[in-house]
Amino acid sequence: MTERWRAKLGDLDTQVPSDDVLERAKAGPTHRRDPSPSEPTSKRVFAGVAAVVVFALAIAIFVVPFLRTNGTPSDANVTPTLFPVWPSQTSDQLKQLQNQADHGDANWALDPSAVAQKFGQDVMGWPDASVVRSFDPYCFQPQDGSTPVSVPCNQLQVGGASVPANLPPHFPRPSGSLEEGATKSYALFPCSTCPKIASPEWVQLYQPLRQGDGAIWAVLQAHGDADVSVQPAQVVSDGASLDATFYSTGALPTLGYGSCGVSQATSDHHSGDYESTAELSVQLGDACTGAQAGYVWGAVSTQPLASDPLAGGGSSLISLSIVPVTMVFDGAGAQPSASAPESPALTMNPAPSMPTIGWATHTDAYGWTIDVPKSWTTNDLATQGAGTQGAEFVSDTMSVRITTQTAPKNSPPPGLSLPAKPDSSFPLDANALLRSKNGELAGQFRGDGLLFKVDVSSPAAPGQLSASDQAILERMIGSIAFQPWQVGDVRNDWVAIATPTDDVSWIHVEGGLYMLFRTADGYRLYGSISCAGADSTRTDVASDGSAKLTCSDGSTWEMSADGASGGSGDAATNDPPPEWPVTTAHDGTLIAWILPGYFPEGTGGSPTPSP
Amino acid sequence: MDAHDYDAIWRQSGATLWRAVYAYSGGRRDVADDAVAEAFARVMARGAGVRDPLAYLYRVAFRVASAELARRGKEVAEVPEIAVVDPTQNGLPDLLRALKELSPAQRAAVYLHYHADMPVRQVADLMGTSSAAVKVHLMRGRRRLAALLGQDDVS
Repeated sequence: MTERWRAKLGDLDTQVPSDDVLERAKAGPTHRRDPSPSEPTSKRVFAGVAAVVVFALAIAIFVVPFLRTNGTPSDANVTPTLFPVWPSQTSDQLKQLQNQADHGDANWALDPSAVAQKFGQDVMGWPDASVVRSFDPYCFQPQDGSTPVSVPCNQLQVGGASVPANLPPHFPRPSGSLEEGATKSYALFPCSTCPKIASPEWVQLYQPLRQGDGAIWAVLQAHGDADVSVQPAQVVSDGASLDATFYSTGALPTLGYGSCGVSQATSDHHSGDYESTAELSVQLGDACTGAQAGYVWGAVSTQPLASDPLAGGGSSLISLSIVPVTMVFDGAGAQPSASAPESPALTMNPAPSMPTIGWATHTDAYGWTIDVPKSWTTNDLATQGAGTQGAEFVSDTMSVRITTQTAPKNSPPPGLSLPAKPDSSFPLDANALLRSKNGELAGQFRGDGLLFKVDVSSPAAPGQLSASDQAILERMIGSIAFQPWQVGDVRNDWVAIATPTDDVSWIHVEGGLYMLFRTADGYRLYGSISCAGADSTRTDVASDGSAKLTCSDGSTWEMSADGASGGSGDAATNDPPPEWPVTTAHDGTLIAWILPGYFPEGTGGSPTPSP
Repeated sequence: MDAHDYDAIWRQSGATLWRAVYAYSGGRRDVADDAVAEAFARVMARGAGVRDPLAYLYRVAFRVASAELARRGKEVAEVPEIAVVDPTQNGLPDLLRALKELSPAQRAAVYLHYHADMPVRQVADLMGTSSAAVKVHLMRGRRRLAALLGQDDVS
């Protein structure tokens, strides 16, 4: 059965293209050229990773790099050669690094994941960079039968294990494990705890001097939100034209190149549409002669880059695509060819520092913390007594509001019910947490027993966030944290209790005596209970598994896990005490929401507050 | 299939692409013809430089169609001429009138997801937008079409 409106979509199948569409296409483009269309980010990522195979072949063909310091004078005679882009492009420095590693002074260089991570720290400017090994481009798995969802690549089963079904048909299928390949690829993330899903930087590494254990690794190329117009190992001559397409809204695109101390980049920074292009003509001058190791890069950043990312200018980078090339200097201060496009260029010299996205930790009155860009405005949302509590974090383009609802004193907070739901797992994953709702993003999580609501709005672009805002949001949401509990801690009417070792326990909580049952369905807490305000003479467990209280007059009171009560003598006439929510906090500690001093009628000697 | 065998791409995916653009343009077949032809022309011109020709085709075709619609005044005033291939069907005018109540992006998203059975993420990739945006398009488009065309189940 299909809904009527959906069935009617089939009426479109009666329409067919005109017969001459393909023939017209074969005659060539006829429209004025719009900005270059993009390939979707995910496909670009896939393509970047699929380049593993290309590089493996390239390595085999070109034999790994003994870098050319004396190239041939004409690019027609230049043999394309692979160079790493980082940590060095010179063979002497790579050999020096190998020597250091051999002597235990640079062990990181022997571990490809450490090299990738260090690239993130040193080049991308991400002190907390983390990496995830990427075996292949399959970062999707099916859900609900048909809709693939993105998952961290390291969670996918590949290389002989199951291949996710229902992949879009144009995705290439894997031909086997890439584990043994000559290159290794990693997804690089700007933080150690951020969600390992969205918009990663992809880094590809290989062993430039020799392959095998004990040989250093180097970054062959990186791929971010820019497609640059050159291929790895391509020969780029003086006067050549470079171009790149960038995919990132609201961030600054820069195209540049570097070789032999020469470094140039575009200077007409602007942030605008999701897709933008940049062009740059290569002007190598006479700093060197012949073929030299070089690189072409396309960066997306939050601030204008004052220098080449490899020269320390990457501290505001959102992403970086960088490709190793062979630059051919003619040694005569050649001018760009007449056909080279005009492009404003900025000669870039290494700059010592760059403005960064500073982060500060906000601590809420309810105990949770979150990382917030320092440039943002924080508004505390505090309601006297009951109501909305939390904070709102605001920038020019996005606001993030995190709130919880509190109840009047001695009343359970909204949403608290039996059985109580456990805290969310932290760190939170923004992509999993937030859902589109009326042009905004919204989600809920639980922490310290409280239900929190997250609302994200982007007035300038409802329903869509720029790449930079997306990255910021992911870090913010991923940074939300609560303090660990200690048994006896009390927060917001929740109290931490010890995890029982028996199925039935008598416990003291905030001056009251409670029964805690461990059942197959979770914990159940009843109380408090007393012998008319007096201490009991004994607490134990009855033979049938009930909690048993014996009073000084010999009367007893019993209660089972399901709340049934009974006993003998006067105590048996007591009303059963209430059940209180017990749940598991974010750090695994059991926490209970109770009203201290609350006694059912006839069982306690203390005043009974209204629940 | 060779990823750059454009004849094969046309045979396999051309009709779906064309209908997506046809829906996007509110039933203007001349816009769909022109946009799809231009998209194929550009992908052929770029050759192997395009790593994912199908995704490229969708992006170019939507872009060209969007530009053309904007040039013509964004929306058609009336339901355009319909080429009825199957003379037994007569529901298309109603569908097109209903689709006209949706935005171009909603039309394309609804067609690709609910009729061409593409996952949301793929639709987002092909349309050059985010999954979240596509979900919004789908939600609004679905509600509108259900209101206009009915939501009762049919066999």
